[in-house]
Amino acid sequence: MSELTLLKHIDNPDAPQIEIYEKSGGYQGLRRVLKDFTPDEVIDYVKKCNLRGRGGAGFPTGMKWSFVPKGDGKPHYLCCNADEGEPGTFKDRLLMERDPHQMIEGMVITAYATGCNTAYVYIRGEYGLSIRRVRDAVNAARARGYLGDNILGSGYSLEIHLHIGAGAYICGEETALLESIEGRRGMPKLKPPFPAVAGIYECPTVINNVETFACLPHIFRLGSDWFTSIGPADAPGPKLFALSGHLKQRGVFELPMSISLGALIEDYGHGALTGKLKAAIPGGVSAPMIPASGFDVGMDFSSLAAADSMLGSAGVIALDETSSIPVVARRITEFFSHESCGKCTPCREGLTWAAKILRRIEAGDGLPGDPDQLEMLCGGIFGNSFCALGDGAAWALAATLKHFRPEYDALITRKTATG
Amino acid sequence: MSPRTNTAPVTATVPDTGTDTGTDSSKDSATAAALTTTVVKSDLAGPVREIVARYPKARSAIMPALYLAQEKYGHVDGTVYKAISELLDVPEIWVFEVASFYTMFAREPRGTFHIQLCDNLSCMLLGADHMRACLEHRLGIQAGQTSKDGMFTLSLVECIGSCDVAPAMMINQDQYSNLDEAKLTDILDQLTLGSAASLSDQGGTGGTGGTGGTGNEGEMP
Amino acid sequence: MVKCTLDGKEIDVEPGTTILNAARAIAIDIPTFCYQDRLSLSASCRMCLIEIEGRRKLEPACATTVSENMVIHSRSDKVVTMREDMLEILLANHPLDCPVCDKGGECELQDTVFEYGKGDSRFQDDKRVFRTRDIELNDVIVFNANRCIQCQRCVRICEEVVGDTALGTSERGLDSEITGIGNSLKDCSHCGNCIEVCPVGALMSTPYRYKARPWDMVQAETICAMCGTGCSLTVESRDGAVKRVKSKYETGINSELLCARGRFGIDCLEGGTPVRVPMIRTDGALVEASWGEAIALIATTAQTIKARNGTIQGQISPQQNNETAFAFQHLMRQAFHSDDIHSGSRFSGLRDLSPGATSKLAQLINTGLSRASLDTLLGHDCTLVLGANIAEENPVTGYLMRAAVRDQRTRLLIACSRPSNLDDIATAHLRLLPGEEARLLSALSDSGNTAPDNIATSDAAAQAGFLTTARTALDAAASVTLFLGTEFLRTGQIEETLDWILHTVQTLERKGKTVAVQFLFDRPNQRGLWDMGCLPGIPPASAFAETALASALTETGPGGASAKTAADTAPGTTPASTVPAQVPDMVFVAGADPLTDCALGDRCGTAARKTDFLVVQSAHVNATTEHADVLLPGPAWGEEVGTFTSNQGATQPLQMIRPPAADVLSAATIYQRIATAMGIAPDWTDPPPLFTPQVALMGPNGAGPPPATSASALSAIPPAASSDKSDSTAASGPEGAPDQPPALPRVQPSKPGDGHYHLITGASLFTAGTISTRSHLLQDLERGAYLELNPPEGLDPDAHQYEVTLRSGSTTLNAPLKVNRGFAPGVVYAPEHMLTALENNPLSARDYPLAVALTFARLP
Repeated sequence: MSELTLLKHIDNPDAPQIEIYEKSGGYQGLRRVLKDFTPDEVIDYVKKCNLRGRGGAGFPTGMKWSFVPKGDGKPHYLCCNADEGEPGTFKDRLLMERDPHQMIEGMVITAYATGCNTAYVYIRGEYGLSIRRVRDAVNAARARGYLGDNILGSGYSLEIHLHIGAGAYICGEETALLESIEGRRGMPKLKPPFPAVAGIYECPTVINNVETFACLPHIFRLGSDWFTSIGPADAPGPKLFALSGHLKQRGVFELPMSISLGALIEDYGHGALTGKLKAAIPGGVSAPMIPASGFDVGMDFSSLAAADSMLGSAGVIALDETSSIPVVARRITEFFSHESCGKCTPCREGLTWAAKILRRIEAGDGLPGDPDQLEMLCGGIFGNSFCALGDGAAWALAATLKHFRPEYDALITRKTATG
Repeated sequence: MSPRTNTAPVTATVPDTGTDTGTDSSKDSATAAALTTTVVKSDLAGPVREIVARYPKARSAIMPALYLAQEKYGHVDGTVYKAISELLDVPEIWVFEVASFYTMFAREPRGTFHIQLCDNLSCMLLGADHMRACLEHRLGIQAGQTSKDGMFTLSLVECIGSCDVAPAMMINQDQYSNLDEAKLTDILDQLTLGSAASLSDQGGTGGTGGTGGTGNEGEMP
Repeated sequence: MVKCTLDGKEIDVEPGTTILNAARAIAIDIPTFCYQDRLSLSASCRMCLIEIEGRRKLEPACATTVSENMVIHSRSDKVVTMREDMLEILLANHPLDCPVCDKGGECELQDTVFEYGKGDSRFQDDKRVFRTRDIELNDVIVFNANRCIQCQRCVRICEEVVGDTALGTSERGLDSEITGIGNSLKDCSHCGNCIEVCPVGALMSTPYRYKARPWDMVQAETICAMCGTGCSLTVESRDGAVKRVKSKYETGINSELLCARGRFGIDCLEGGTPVRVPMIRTDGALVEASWGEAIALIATTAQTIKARNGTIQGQISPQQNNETAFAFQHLMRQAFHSDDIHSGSRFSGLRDLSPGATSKLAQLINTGLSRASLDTLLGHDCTLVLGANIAEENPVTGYLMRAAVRDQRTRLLIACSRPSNLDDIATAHLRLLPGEEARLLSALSDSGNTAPDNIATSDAAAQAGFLTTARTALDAAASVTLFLGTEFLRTGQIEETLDWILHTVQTLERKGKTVAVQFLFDRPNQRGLWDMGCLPGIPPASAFAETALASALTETGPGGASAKTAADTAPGTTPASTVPAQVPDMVFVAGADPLTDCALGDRCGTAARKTDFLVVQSAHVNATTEHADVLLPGPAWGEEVGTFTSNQGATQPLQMIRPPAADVLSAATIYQRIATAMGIAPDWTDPPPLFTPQVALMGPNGAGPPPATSASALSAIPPAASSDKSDSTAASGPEGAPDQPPALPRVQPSKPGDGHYHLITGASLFTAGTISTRSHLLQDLERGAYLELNPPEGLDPDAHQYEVTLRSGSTTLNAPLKVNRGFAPGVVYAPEHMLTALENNPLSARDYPLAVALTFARLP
């Protein structure tokens, strides 16, 4: 990729300042939108770009917006999902800390398109610096007339408030996030009705990820042709990938989605920290791991789906040959068990059961039937959970069994033999 | 059970909750033990009113109000729940439900320094378990406990989004990354002496990419 | 209709029907835990997942609506496996302590595992244990967290139906635990509905704890006597001892719901001092006598009084059943030739009914009150509650009202002196003093000729807001329900209030609206007593002219027929309304306790106290029995069969829970024997007929109302203001000119101020009538006396506790302050039983609400 867009100014310590952002073309996209576009035209334009949500599900953004009813007389709300909690993911944090105005400009454009006059940024409480940077940016944008009443003389008004999370991964799930804004426990809500029709306070609510918003100013500044020229046709545009784990170089990289997992690891992660890699998790811990033999898979929605995994949050965690897969599986399952909201039976009870078995295996008390039992649990949880948390947890665990069953058996057999 | 569950205090980081009214001045004078609902209500009434104005419904202000109270008193408890419920005119159980759902609300007092060590996958792969052992040894407490002198509370937390600079931890609101035994020792030494701020990641996330960006090879800034 | 295929069966369902309901309609069982008809959807237990062709994942049957040509499988391999997995996962942590669990034998988890489980578990690890001991959340609810399956039914019913929002969830994930504030529910309504809906043995009843097994008990299906809502109760006993009260899903007006009084007040059967044998006052003391002696004395005395044209008064308690009431008024009218019959003597306003008020009340009872299910009434577009704290006086009516509002079936308007938790869900509410109801109705009517000059104790802005909102809501409504509380029955403005109620109904009907009126009585059979003619000048049965009950009454003999015109046919009968306010020569009290209920100097109390010959028939000893010249034992509630007529007009059968003491005769038998002894051949049967036709008409669920006693009959009723004009009927015909609005009360309650408060009263959550005060458990829950008000400035109830001293004339009352900021300033509430227990019961119609002085003392 020749030129960076989302991360262009990321190493400039002054990038969070609005003057710097403006100098590099910031808020030009918004000016263009307010001057030349009706709200419907904004939606159509984003549809034409085929921008897909960067939060994990990859749902077409323009289509999501078009579900918002028009002329319904109710207030509409916009929410920015900045509750980046997926282990192995830290791209939104970078955007908020280093260049927050992209997101804010994108939010104003979105709010204009969907008729929202109030917006909330839901930032996880652990991201102290992001909170400060976004708050400063919101205040600066308001002072410059990009927020508040009658934005840039357009007659359109928007206020952005911050809502700070308090340690609950589940609030990254959009309905749980909305519940949390309403002051409730962050538990997913029944869909339908979808948030676009009845979200916070029973009103139409648009919710997008930080990175999705950050793409929008560039789309309206550089045009749809620019956007669609990057990456595959079904997933165009710049994408942020976060690399962590057993890699020589770790960090966030902006690349088109056509890149292969192997290339990402070798060319940008500079390969294994020591020795060889055994597997990699392509999109945060809820994405099923891919063994090294499968590293040629493309890092996009459809290719990863075909490989029985998912792009998810595009947080790649590489595991070298010293990693014990059952231990990794235990840690991942414990994470999901800890973060399960407790609403539905399979996730609440099933994940804890699985974690117990995994801890037992790790402690050397594994039983020969344990792997089968884990598979049964994965089957009972996957597809039957209320939301994607349980599904993701079971899917991720199932992948470790599918690809690395011998590791489990070895651990159990060894311990059984000596015990 | 992992120490991250069921052992209070869990995490109790207090982020900047965005009230314009400073509450720091009385931070040290107030101890939760001496608080009454009336006092908490009068302490919080002003800022809570501002928060409520951001939302169509007062219930939304429960989380920010809990943060406010935690910022002021160090932790939240029954007195705080009652005060907030009366300020917002919502059932008290709603306030408690929220306080107990989110791990960042401390429902018991915690140490002056709240060490929150991430031991999620990316940190674990780069030595978080060893860091935990070092911390427990050095502080003489287990994860989930507070040192007898009230200086340190050690918590294990889920991913704090510092996977590229793992292993990482937060002490109160400051982040420390690329931890190893020597760095941990330095940090704790300096904390005991006064401040370890110079060792924290002043700018937030440490090394990071861009294509061919600085990445995370080598030293932290 | 929508067509779908369910397990191979093609069916048509209404659009919007869920798969679960479609399946249940054709008797296909789909297991559920979190689903409950009345509650918001959760879809969290995942037991009801079913397979829909063309969908990748299984879908929850409870939350998925049937769509056209959907093909659904509720027993496919995939579904069967899922259910087995789900139950295995649930049981992994569920303790296997069924043998010692109170829920054993009626546990939904147990039943579902039996039906759908795999029969074994592969769980080999330690179960999650919250704690080894159960928590007593309050005096009636005990909680075992280990058994909880997080269906959240309890939390939802507590918030969505009961309105307490006392229960919630702490922690999350597998650590999620149901709890109240501080792990306690000490301040909740104690209704126990959370226990009723708990599918497992997590929430349990403390009084029932370890007392019995469900299969060991015999059940009596009866009607609750704790208020007029008419809830169905299942009273369960083992070896003759009552063990618990349950509600039954889909049975009665209440279905699974009960309030604390209904569910936990059953120990009232053991309370009080029973009257066991007839007694006659001899040399100043009550001495045991035979039935024959007692009856002979009553008959002789009555005969003598009749012979000298003396007066006899009857007073009957609204806790007496219809059969007793019907026989009682026969005795009064046919044998004693008296129409001076009282049945609401604790309502001070009713005691002194003027002739005008009597006829208005008769109009309302006979033609105005609806005989339709509460469900129907709560489906009306707008519901106006006038002077009733439903949440405390008729809790279950309140629950149903809350559910109706939540389902957006009706818009609720409340005007009442007492605040309640229904205020929060009302479209508008107003604090209104008793006695101001007529002025409010006048202000709401478009012919209102009186400016609503400060009728409310809320501030002027609140009053204006209420009137605007209420007018709009009433205008927009095609159907309106008027719920009448009993507050106005205590006031001196009763006649004008009745006028305005009748006028309002008439006016709304003129506008083409459907109008229903229901009284909200806090006693179980006030409605029945009125229907049976236990009011001066209001004979029985006229309300039933068109119904099967009329023939039932008629079949009982000439008495039934003659009753319609009792005042005319019974020679020598003097309509009570024209009786001079003198002490009757004889007073016959059936079940009531006027010496306790009436203020000194009030008519019924004075009559009982001062009459030469006081006959009291009662199950329990009370102030009036102590004063009796002849005391007769009678069966208590639960000791006889009979019927109660609920507030909604349903006549429902009472089953015997236990037999009365050997020497106790039924009231009707006593009356018959008195009449016989007086030489009158009684023309009512013994035992009296059960008024079952009404039950059949109402249906077991309160559904299917009988032919409506359409309030349109009211259109022929002259407006009260011109009731003395003979030609007024013509003016108020269906197409007639608009009525002149009735007159407003001349007297308006004074505005409180300067340390002066208005004392109001009524039933409280745990106390409604002597039957409730006989329950030790309810008395414990009531936690002693209190005076409830919105404390004046200068008090800091957050920091301190206060004792209030109330003074009114010679009456002084000290009680702790109970803070309720919902009250208007200057209004104080005391539960009625507190006031009647005073030596000088201050409740009098001459001044209600009563002006009192309050002083506050800070407690150390």
